Amino acid sequence: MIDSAHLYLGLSAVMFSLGAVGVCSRRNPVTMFMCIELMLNSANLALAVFARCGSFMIHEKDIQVGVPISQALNSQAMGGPADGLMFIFLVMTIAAAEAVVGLAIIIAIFRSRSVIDVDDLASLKG
Amino acid sequence: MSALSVILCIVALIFACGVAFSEEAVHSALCLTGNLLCVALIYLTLSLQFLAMAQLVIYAGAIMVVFLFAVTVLSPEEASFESHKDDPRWLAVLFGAALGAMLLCTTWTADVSTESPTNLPGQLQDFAKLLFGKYMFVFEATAVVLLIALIAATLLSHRRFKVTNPQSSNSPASNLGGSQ
Repeated sequence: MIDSAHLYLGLSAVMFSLGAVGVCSRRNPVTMFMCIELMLNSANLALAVFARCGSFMIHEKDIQVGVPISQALNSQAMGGPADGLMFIFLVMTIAAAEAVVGLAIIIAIFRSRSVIDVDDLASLKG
Repeated sequence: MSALSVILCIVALIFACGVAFSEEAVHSALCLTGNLLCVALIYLTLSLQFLAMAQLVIYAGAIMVVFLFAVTVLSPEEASFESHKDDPRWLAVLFGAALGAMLLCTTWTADVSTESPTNLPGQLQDFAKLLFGKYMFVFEATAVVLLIALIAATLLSHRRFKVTNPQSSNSPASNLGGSQ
């Protein structure tokens, strides 16, 4: 019997691979962008599960010689439980910027050539 | 593991398949919206209320409006959405299956606790402490990135492009750059 954390992690893995399949197989750049957003979203989900349900216990092999155990616990060099949530927030912001610039470029290409097919846009191919 | 988690995962999976495999771009956009809503509900089950609301507002609100606007502008009658005969789609599916199997094997051995605890930080106060404390510089850099994206989108939309024949796409790339 699996728990919900592993279930969400499995969902994240499958969503990421579905996004990769979409990026590889679709030929419409807007749909490719949607699949990229799907991959970013699945990475966000994995970050949330790890931040929420991950174990933050310090293993013995990670403790350096000479550093007191209380200082190692307080330093949180590997990040605390709320740091993953910060990264989700930053990924959302960068995804918004990426979507705006990418779609502006796609619309500019469409206005220039009246075709949006990634296989036909091969002018820069050597 | 509750029944709600299983139902949310199944619905999110169906919507993700719809994003990757539906023929029309509008259907992909709608499926992506449904998938984002499911993930927001999953955030709620993990008791991450602020992130669920941010997901709703930023992803399902702002980004999906931009996507739907782009799908509307790029009129699908003129664009070719159907795949070619020699499209190696099975190669993509094989690659995706291998990637998914690898990721599943990795996440299966992940060291996560059985049930989501409720005493961990993740509420708005801890979020704000990190955002304006440890990650202050990153926060400011994000603002700069958003400003640059705004300027770039405005510049790209104000260019005037020569409309060229799509059949002559093998000609030299002088038609890519427009005149200001």
